[in-house]
Parts: sequence; structure tokens; C-alpha cells
Amino acid sequence: MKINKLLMGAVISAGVFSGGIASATDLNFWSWRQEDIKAYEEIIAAFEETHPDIHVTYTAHEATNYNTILTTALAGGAGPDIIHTRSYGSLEQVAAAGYLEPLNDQVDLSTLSADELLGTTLRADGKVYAVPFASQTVLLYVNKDLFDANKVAIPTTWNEFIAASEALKAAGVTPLANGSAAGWTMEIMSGAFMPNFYGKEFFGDVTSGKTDFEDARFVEALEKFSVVKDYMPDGFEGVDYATMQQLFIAGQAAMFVGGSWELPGFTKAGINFDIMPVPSAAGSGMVATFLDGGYGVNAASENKEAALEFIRFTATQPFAQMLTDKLGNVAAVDGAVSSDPMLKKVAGFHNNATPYIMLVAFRFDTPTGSTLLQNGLQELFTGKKTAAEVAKDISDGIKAAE
Amino acid sequence: MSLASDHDIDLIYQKSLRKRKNMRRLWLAFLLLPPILMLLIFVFLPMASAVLYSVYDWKGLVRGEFIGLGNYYDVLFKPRESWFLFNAFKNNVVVFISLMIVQNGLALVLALLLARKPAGYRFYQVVIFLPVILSTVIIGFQWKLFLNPIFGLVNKFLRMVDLDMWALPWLGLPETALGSMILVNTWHWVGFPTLVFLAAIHRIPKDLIEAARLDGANEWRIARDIIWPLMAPAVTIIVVLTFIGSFNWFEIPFIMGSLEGSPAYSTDTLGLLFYRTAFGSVSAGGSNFGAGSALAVLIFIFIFTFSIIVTKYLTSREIEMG
Repeated sequence: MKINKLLMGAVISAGVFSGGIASATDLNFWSWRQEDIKAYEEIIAAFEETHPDIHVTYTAHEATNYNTILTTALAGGAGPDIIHTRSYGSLEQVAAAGYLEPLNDQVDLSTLSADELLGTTLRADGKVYAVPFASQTVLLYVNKDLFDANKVAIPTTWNEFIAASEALKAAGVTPLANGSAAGWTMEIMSGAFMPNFYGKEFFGDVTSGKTDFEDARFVEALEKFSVVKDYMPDGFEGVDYATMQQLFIAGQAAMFVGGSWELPGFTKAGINFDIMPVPSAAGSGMVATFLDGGYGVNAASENKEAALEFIRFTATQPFAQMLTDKLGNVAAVDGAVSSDPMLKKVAGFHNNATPYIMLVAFRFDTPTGSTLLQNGLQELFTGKKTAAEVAKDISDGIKAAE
Repeated sequence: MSLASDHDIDLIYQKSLRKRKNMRRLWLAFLLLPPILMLLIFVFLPMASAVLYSVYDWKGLVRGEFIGLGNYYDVLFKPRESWFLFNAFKNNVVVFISLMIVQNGLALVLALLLARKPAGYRFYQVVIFLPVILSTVIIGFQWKLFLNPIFGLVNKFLRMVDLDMWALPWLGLPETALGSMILVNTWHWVGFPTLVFLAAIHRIPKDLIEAARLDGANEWRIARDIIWPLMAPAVTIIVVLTFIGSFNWFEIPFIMGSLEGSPAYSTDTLGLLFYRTAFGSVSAGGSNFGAGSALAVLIFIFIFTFSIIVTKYLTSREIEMG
């Protein structure tokens, strides 16, 4: 009897396994998010539960070389079935070359806002080539303990921000951890400070061609932003990303400008912090937001239908909820509710937001707006050029871009 | 069974000689084939493909149409691109001249001192050469930490000895970044020219130096008129290697600065410019294989031509030791 049961079990499991191997479609999924491997494996397991005939393997490549690795593989006729794409200009490189499957008629995109879809839409044909996954927000982190210890109130207006910075400095605390050694952290910082000065309309005006970067609003924003260098660490010119994180985590600096992607790290480090937009003259300031990327299908994939099935899954609320819970991302798909108060706050900031200008609108041609701005800000902050000169360089560069 | 005649022995001998000759040829071919194949696959093939790539228009990694010298025109004459090329080239020239003076000059002094075998010279020899065997990546990161404006050893030391005004953000200022990197390169590499110079000095016959000393020449005279001219072959090698190294300079500025030659392109080099153009970067945008290949070909032609000229010129000045 016992033996019979055992035998039966063996026969059944053999049948299940061989059946599984015979009929499952194997999909490769490439990404640059090495830190998210565990979370994605859990998300994929949830997908495979409802799709037992599809098996997805997640592979994460080194982030800074991901675009090169991906395009090289695609150009060689290889590459994964499911592609974690970056957004805007980086998406265009892959989509314009015809490597991605257009999704408009194949995936229900109604859960996504037009702003978010913009990040994965090819400008040339207006088609969507990836399902947007998460937006990032540029904002200000404040160390509440340091403010309390030095009896400085957390600022709510621009003037209070200056006054608080002066007070912290007088107390021997570095007000702002950020440095200018890494160009990209300067661009991030400008995304937190400059929109309040150049205003909500500037993005629309400059992208529609109504004005250029020599606009008085932009020059003035550069000038006002550069005041901040008085509150950055001594020798900020040599402070890179790792150092500024260290300064904030070690409680040597009271504020840090970064993105919503810093939340897990700072929480884990155990800092008693709060997040906020950089305050404007009138009070509540704007944050800058951008779409981080999306999920697309390799147009040359042999398992396109199965891959599309996975992509459809990424456009649903349950997926967005997992992305929020497991990865602490502000999911692009509507309907996800976060239990994390910080993430809730970030989502709230989106009511008063402006696109993160150079990434969203000027990373399509070379020179990119990002290189121009990063380089210009280093020149401005190290005193090599004035705000007007930097604005002219950016404007000329953008006009000459192709 | 009779003994083999002389004739037979001769035949056998010749046969074995031929066999041995063939064996030798086979053996040579066997030894030479791998390096020749390696050269073909890893040097000539990439070079040929770079030339081929450079005459096409590229959309990312997809090859477009044939455009002749279009890419060369772009990198050489378009205002923005030519500014980058000139700026990077200028930095490479600064690197070459500085390394010649600081690194190789220091190496020469060290070699002359070590050649006199001061107490513990073996120890010094090892210490000076030690950094050479370390990886450039490690050295770049280590010195980036040393030069950190807040936690770095260099500035901590400067503040300790009351030189606060000298505690600068070395890698963050356009004025000091390139110089700092050149000094790091010197720290890394000075052992190599020192060793080559030292070997060259040891090769000089002792009687020449002793004869000069007997004739009443002082140490400076001996160094200038006997050692220096006779170590010319070593100088040739070091100058050419420094030249090639300076114009291919990539690792140190890439690790200690950034792909963009941060801050404000003050540490940009031809190597970084090539990498950025060919492969793109997150902020600088997409890759352009055509322009990148054109740059690579131009850099190669420049280094190749000048290396030959410099070698020819320097060898012509070398004196044969009788």
C-alpha cells in the first residue's frame, strides 16, 4: 500500500515535471536594477502562479553600461524577450532602431497618465514602446535631529531656508551635504532648486520653442541657485556622491538634495529624516519628476505573445502594488496604495511638480541638455563662468544639437 | 647482417638532419602561430574594422550609409567637436610634458642616487617599484580617497601642519584636478623608468667612470658627460613609452574624475573623448560608432607617426658603446 502510494506520487510528479518542461515558454528579462533582483524574483513568481506555462528569468546587468550591453546584444540579433528600458532619449535609441514592439493596440494602457506615457513614447511615430514602471522625484531631505539639536526650525519658505542655513553654519553644522565633483549630482540639485525660480510655465515655453535657455527666468534661476554654494561643505568642489551620502548619514550635514530613490538607503541607515520640496518664496515649492523607465518587448523575440502577456501584467494594479511594497517605488500605474508614509508623501508632492527638464526634454540629441547643464553648473559653482555665460552655453549647445 | 656502409650512414645522417630541420620549422611555426593569430585577431582586425566603421554613418549600433570622410570632418572641424578634440589633445600634451619632467626627471634622480648604492638601496629599490605592480584601478580609488576634501589624508595632513589654505578640493577644482592626477600617475609609475635607468647605468663599464674620476671629474661631470650619453638607449625607450602612455591616458582620469573629464572638461583626454563618443553615457546620450572610430583612427595615426619620428630621432643620437 505504502509502496503503491510512493510510486503513484513519483509517477505523478514525473508527469508534472516533464509536462512542465515540455510546454513552458522560457522568457529572458534584462534589467539594470541589480539591487532589485530579489524583489523581481518574487514578482515573477506571482506572475508564474497565474501563468504556469510561462517561465521568466530575470538578469540584471551593470547599470552604467546597461544601454551599451543591451544595444550591442540587440544589434547582434540576440537580446532578451522582455526589456527593462530606460526612458526618454535612452528609450528612443532602442525604439527608433526598431528593436521594440509597439504596444498601443496590444496592451491596455488606460491605467497610465499621459505624462508618464510620454517617457516611453517614440517622438517620431507617437507610439508607446514600453509600459512605464516608476517615477522618480527630486526633493530635499532634512535631518530632523540635527535641526532640533541646534534649535533651528525646519524652513517653510525660501527666506527661512536661507536663515536656517546661516544658523546651522554658525552652529558649526554643514547645512547642505551636496558637492559638485560629480556633474550628475549637480543636475539633480538644480532639479530641486531651479524650478521654484524659473516657474511652472518655463518648461512648456522652452520645449515649445517659445523661448530658449537665455530666457531671463532661467538666468535668474541659475543666479539664485548658485547662492546655495555658501551652504555646501568646505571643499564642495571635491565632494562626490559617496561623500555627500556619507556626510548626511553620519549627521555631519543637515540637508541633502537627492531623489526618491535614496529613501530605502537613508531609512536603512536609521536617520531621523523628513522629505520636502525645496521651499519657494511663497511657501510650498515644486518638485521635479521624471519617469525612470518601462517594460518593453523585443520586436525580434520568438516568444512575443508570452512576452506581451508579461507586459500586460506590468500594466495592472496588482503589479504596481508589488512594485510599491517590495521596491519602495512610486509606481507609474494608477491604483497602488503605499503603506509607507514617506512614499505617500512623495506621491502627494506630485500635485505640484514640474518635469525634470533636461532628462525629460533634452536628452534626445547630442550634446544633451544634461551634459551642457552639468558642465555649466560646475563652471558656475567653481566661479569659472557667470550665470549669463552658462545660460548662453546651454542655449547655444541645445540649438546646435542634432 | 653486415655493418652499414659509410654511404648509408651519410644518408641516414642527412635524413635525420632534414627531419630535424623540418621538426625545427614545425616547432617554430607552432610557437609563432599563436602570437601571430593573437596579433591578427586582437590588433589588426580591430584596427581594420575601426577604419571600416569610421567611413559609415551610424544610428546607434546600426550601420547606415557610406559617408566617406564625413565622420573625420565632423570630429575635426565642427565647432563643438573640434573644441573637445583640441581641449582633450591639449590636456594630453600637458600630461606628456609634465610626466617627462616630473615622473621621468624624478626617476633619473632616483636612479643616479640608487646607482651609488647607498645603505639599504635594495630596500629603496623595492619600495620605489612596488606601486608599479598595483592595479591602476586600486591606485585611482585609493588616491581619490586620500584627496577627498573632507575625509582625505592629504588635507588632514595639511591642516595638521597648519597649512589650512592649502587644503584644497584637489580633484574638484579645474585648476588643480589635472595636476593632482598627474602626480598620482607619477607616484604609480615612477618605479618603472627608475628601474630602466638604473639598469642602463649598471651597464656602463666601471672603468670609464673610474678613469673619469681619476682625471678629476666631479660627480656632476660624470653624470652629465659619461652616464647621460651612455644611457641614451634607455632614455629613448622611456620617452617613447611615456609618449604612448600619455596619449592613451584613460584609467586615472576615468576613475578619479569621470567619463566627462570632470570638473568642466579640465581632465578630459583623447581616451575619454573617444569612449564617450563611441559608446555614449547616461548623461551624454547615445553612442556614435562612426565618429568614435574616426577618433580612434586619428589617435592611432598620431601616436604611430610621432612614436616613429621620436624613436628615429632619439636613436640617431645614441652612442654605440665600444
